[in-house]
Amino acid sequence: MSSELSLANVTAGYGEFVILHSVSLEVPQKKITALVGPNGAGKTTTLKTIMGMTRLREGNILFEGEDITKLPTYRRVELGISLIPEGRGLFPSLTVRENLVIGAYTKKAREKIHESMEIAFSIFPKLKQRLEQKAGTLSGGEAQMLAIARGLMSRPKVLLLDEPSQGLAPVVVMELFQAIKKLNDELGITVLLVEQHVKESLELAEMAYVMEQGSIVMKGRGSELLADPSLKKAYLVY
Amino acid sequence: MISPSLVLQNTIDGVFLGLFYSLVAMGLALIFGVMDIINFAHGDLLMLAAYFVWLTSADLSVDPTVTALLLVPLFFLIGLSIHYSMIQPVLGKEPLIQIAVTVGLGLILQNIALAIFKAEPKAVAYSLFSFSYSIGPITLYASKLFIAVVSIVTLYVLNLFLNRTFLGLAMKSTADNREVAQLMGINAKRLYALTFGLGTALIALSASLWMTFGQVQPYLGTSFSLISWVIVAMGGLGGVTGVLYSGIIVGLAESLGSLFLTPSARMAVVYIVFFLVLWFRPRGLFGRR
Amino acid sequence: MGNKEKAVSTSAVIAIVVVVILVAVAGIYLATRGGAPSTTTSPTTTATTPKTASPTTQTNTTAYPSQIYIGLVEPLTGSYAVFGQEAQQAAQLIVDIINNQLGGIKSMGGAKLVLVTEDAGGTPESARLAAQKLISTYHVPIMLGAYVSRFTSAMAAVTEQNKVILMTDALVDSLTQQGWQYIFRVAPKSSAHGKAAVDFVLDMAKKTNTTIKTAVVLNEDSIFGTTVANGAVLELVSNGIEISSHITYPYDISDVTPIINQIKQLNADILISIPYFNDGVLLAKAIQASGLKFAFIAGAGACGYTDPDSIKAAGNAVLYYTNTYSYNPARPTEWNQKVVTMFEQRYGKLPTEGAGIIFYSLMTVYEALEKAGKMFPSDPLNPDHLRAAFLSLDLNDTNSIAAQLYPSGHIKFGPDGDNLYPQTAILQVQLVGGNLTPVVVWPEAQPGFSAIFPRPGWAPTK
Repeated sequence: MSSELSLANVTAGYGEFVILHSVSLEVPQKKITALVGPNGAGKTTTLKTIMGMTRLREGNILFEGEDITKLPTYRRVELGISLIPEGRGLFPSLTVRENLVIGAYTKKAREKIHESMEIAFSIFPKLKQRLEQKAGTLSGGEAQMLAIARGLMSRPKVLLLDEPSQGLAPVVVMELFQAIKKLNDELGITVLLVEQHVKESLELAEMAYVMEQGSIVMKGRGSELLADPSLKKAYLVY
Repeated sequence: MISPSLVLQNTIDGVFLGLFYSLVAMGLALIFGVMDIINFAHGDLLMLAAYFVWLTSADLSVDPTVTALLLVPLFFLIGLSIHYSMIQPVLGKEPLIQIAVTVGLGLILQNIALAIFKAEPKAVAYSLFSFSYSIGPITLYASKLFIAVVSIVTLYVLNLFLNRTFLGLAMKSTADNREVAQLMGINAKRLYALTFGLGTALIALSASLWMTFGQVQPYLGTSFSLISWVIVAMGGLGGVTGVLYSGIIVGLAESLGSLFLTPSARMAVVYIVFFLVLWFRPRGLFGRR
Repeated sequence: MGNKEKAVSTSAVIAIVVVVILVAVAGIYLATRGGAPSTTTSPTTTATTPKTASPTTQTNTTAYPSQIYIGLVEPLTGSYAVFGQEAQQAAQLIVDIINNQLGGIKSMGGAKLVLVTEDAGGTPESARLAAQKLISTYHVPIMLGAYVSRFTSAMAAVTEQNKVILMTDALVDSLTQQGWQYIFRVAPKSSAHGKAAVDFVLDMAKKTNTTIKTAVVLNEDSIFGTTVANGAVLELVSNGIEISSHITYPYDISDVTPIINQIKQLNADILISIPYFNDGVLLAKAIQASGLKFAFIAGAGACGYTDPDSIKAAGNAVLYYTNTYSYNPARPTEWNQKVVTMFEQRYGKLPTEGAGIIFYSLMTVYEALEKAGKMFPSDPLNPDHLRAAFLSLDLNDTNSIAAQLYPSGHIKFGPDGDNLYPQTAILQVQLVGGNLTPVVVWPEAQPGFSAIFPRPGWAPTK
């Protein structure tokens, strides 16, 4: 499996604070990779670092063989990496439609905007009915759908998801993970999934990493980690 | 002594004035909304543009409305220039530094103007709109009508731009959430520059309109900055509509206040209205933040 | 990476280009307009031997001083530099006339006058310091200045304290209402301007059989505007004219149309307007645009309407407007015409109000010095002797040059120091050879001209 996206010995943080300590991980192409761990482990920081939104002190980030470590955020989006941030990050004063449209801001995405919209609706049909509603008025589940759909509008090769199930009812979480599986299967989008719902993530994922206090402490195939007893004890407590 | 027709007259004039004020405040609203920086030199840039109008009109006998065609693109460039040299370096730094930079810019502009043009107000003779229409007891001044029309058309076009174009949506998105906007592939640095340039271009347009009936002196910027801030704060960053309604309220307050009290008290009325609005609706009339 | 850096350098180029354009434009503009204060020469060039001259306030019973220092404090830099510089030019001309043509102060053995000048600067404080400097360096017995009323009150604190006679060219009434003993003013004070505007209008109304019953008074709300307006109001009332409305406004008003709308309703016969400067332009334009008509519109207070900048900015909106003027360059007396010609020959321009005030004020000083020399031969420059000399003056066209230079031809001081016979000239904007030009029309008109009254196109509505 060739990795589409990889971090090599990345040390990074915000301002004076160092959060990630020499983190290395590989995200294989067209697969779902999970990154799990306790609160404050540095998972969100990892995703933000991939997008170039943190202060990277050491290490490299490679995407499709190219070193993107020094690229500004918007360039990384143009190359094909999209982050669905924690808490959705919708534009509340924009309508559902406008959120989707702005998702297709990059040149490449604009050319295919209508196609992208159709794809988004096929995965998240409920959005079609709410097009003219202000994004700030959506329910938790709908907001998450919109956030992901918006992320898809940039026609990414790699989708980074930061705790998409946060604050959602179990039923909705299930729908959500089904949708994630669908976009990986049908659209061939590589996914890096950061989650607190460890069990479901590991079931979904081909590869998985466990992060604690800014370092990778465990890695392996999803099914392997699922079976690991120490992990079960620490995280799979439900 | 105050007849109903006079009240009606002042109401109409107040609305026209308010539309103009909305245009003036719009540049500030854009810059503040998208870039989150308080541009204390807003009014002083208007003063600068007004002097440009005076220079070209007085010396070259060009009508101020025509000058606008030159001035707006020129000031877009000037806005870019100011942005790259002074604003960009301090974006993301402490607010105190940002304030110092824009206040400093304003003071520099004021003192340069004072040194070159002295303190006496300058006005421009224009012939294009020096007439009026009488409809019964109401007088409609052609110049005010023209300004009101230009203001509202500009605001309408701006609104279309903000809602229907990618660049406009990018500005709205950045105003909502700066960080996430970059995740859409928006080049924030370039967007800021364009926003500042656009805001400055709007200021130049306002100045051209202003000079068809007003006068310029080095401290003109102060009153415009204040009015703009009042409008932006009342409008609650509700985009063009918020600024529009707030501007009209301010215009009415000034015009009717001048009628029922004395012209000298006009600013006091504006501030009282401003205070009352924020008292009852702290998030502004259309507040989002 | 490539994108980001390229974007920065393109924008830097734009920034540099725009700044260069701005600097070039500013430079061309300054060069063609010829800036202002850079051509000021050093203020004390007129003094001959400053440091070694003996102080002139020393009483000297055996010989008169050969030189008498006259101090001049005017704004030579800053917003009022144009007026201050003209005042200085006028003062130098009068001093030269006194020394060379009149033989100096004959009652003091032909003592010559020496003009010493200091820049009043741009604040009351700098004016005060300028006065202080002249007093400590030259011990001047008499000082003139400072054109701007608030500079002058700061100066007066110093002159009064040092018992230096202050002959002022500033107009606000309050300067002579402070109970100061050593201040004198020949120029018509601000309320006199208001009164003169009304007198002119009523005089012309009588001459043209125009009935004037009602008036609107409109003024900017500073001390100056208020005192001028009060003078006008008093004169209107004492002549039985009804004041339909007295409206005040801030001088930096942006929108005058609410005022015009208010006035339109009143259907008054005349408008007396006291603008600050270009608010006058706004008013004239708005009046024109609104179609408002008056029998006459008279400005007062010497600001606005008839000056070149206002005419340029308002165009034909100010046609037929008048304003009061503290000096009448067209007064046909022998000495007035002489002085005007000499000024024009020396400086290449006609004297305006700022120069005119200095003409008659400094000539009055000359008269007072001559009188003091006669009244108090042993100690003429003693402050109280000088003061007595000033108070004893009663000048008219036949017994003095000063009165010939003055609009009313009569100079006599009241106990407060103001001229008891103030008068202004009236300038009117008329079309002369297709150009809008200010022309003296009252009390004596420029040759070939007369006042245009009432305003063409007005017809009584009642």
